Amino acid sequence: MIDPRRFLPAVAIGGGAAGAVIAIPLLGDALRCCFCIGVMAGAGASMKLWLDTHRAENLTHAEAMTLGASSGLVSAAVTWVLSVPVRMGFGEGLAGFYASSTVLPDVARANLQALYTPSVGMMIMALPLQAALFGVMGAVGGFVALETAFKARKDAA
Amino acid sequence: MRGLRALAALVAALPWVAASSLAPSWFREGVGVTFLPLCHHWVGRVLVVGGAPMCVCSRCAGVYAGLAAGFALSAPLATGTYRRLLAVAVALAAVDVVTQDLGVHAPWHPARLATGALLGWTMAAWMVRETLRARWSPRSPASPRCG
Repeated sequence: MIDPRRFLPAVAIGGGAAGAVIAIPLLGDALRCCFCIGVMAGAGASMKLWLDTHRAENLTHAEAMTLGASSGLVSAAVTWVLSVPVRMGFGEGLAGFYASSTVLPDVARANLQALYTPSVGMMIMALPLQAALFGVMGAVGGFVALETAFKARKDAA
Repeated sequence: MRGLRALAALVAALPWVAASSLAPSWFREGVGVTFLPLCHHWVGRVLVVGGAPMCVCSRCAGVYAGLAAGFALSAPLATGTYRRLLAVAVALAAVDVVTQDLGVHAPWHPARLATGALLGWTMAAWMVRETLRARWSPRSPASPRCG
């Protein structure tokens, strides 16, 4: 059994940074087109941080997936926690900002408005779903990172 | 292991499950809010299923469908073959993205779905394959381990 706590603080930093970027209004919205890659990149960054601080150790596939999934869970938590005050404090303003945009197509405008003005129930329901989704994407990111960027640090077991 | 694979497949299939006409509206809305931070939803790039736009664009829909399929069903390919397949999948998706955004062709859902699905399936199937391989083969005693 792999203890995910051994990947702290790397997953907190990598996953947290990815989650924060996803949650930041305007910047996150501009980069919205590639954010499942963002969660995976956060997992890759977490792996880089962990490998850099554990030079004598290598990772198995299962460990890489656990590290990635942990990073994804942190990203989900950070995104959700940051999005709550953003939605509560600035949701209406951001929704109004996007509603008045003439550049955005209707579907994108409607979705950005929905992103910042969900009901409390939907926000609560999104947390476990987001955690599961980001966890899966993080696990995929961790695996792909180990097989591509950090091949030399792969434990053959 | 099977439970985790099934869970991962189910999570990856969420956009398609939510797009089904059987999905209740509260579930559809909750899944929509979940995927909102992860996709641009540009018009013309989102599939319309049953009269309603999906919660992700067609390429993301392909990636998620591919991931779900890969978690459910992997192929007994060698590691090198999966690595080459991933490179091909990334290259095909990149070519489609670049040619589409340069205006060479209009966004075409079948191509977006197919390139996304190949990418998603390759990653998930490779993950499953390596995990199964590790379970079947005993750990080498010479493998250096610390901590």
